[in-house]
Amino acid sequence: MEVFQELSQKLVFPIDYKSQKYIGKQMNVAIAAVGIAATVYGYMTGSIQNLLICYIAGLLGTCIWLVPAYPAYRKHNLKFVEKPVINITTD
Amino acid sequence: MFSLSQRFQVLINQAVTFSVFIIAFIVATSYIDLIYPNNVFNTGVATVNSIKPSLSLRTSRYFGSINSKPKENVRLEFDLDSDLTNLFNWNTKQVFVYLTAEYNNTKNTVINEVTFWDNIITKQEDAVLHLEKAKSKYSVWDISEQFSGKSLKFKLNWNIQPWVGPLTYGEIDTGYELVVPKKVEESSKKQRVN
Repeated sequence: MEVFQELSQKLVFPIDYKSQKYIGKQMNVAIAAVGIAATVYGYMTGSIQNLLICYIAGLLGTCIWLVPAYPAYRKHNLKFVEKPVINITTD
Repeated sequence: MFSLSQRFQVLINQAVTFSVFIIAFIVATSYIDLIYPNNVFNTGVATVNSIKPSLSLRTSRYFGSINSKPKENVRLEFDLDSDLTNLFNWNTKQVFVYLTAEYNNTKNTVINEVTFWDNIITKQEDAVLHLEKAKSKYSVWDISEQFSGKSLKFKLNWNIQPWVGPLTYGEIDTGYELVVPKKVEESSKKQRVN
């Protein structure tokens, strides 16, 4: 069980509200674009199979683009207040 | 959106939601394709010719006989010409065609419909039907003892089975009428004795 806990902790991304909001928006746009492109391509070729292949390929692309936590999506990590450093001098 | 699994789930969710719209588009375009420019529900043409019915008396319960009472069975030999290529569009998986006959019961209160022949067409290239002296697939009997003397009106029915969306049914009236002759052939009478 400890192994699973470690694993799930690693899967949790650093808190970065700005990037997460950006990903949410991009995901909507990307899926709509992929869907429309697949539909148009399928309609032009007159084949539902082509539509399905195109849609699934597009979704895999979107998955690779938006799902993992790339460094670009970790730029705005929350910075917690650091402990003030107090210099105590002793004579 | 704070973990890998949640982000993946959101993506799949969105994809499934969007696919509903894609399906609606497919259903709409394929239906429009059926009614415009050629309305397949009205413009279908099918001709049936030289139907030769053959009657036989069967005593097996697999042919409608009850307690070994002889039951009149009808089989047909027919010519059929029809062009069903208009039924094929990008959402058509296959077309089921079946030749049926309608007849009234003895009291003229119920219209019965029986199927003599059917076929599954999976390709547009095969959608032009040209059959000569084709034999009916099914041996048909009525709930009453006799089939002879009944007036059959023949129809070619079709049923489009799509990749997505609802089934679409339609029928083409062939305008062919046939009164089943009263005589039972000699050969089948002999069979009955045996």
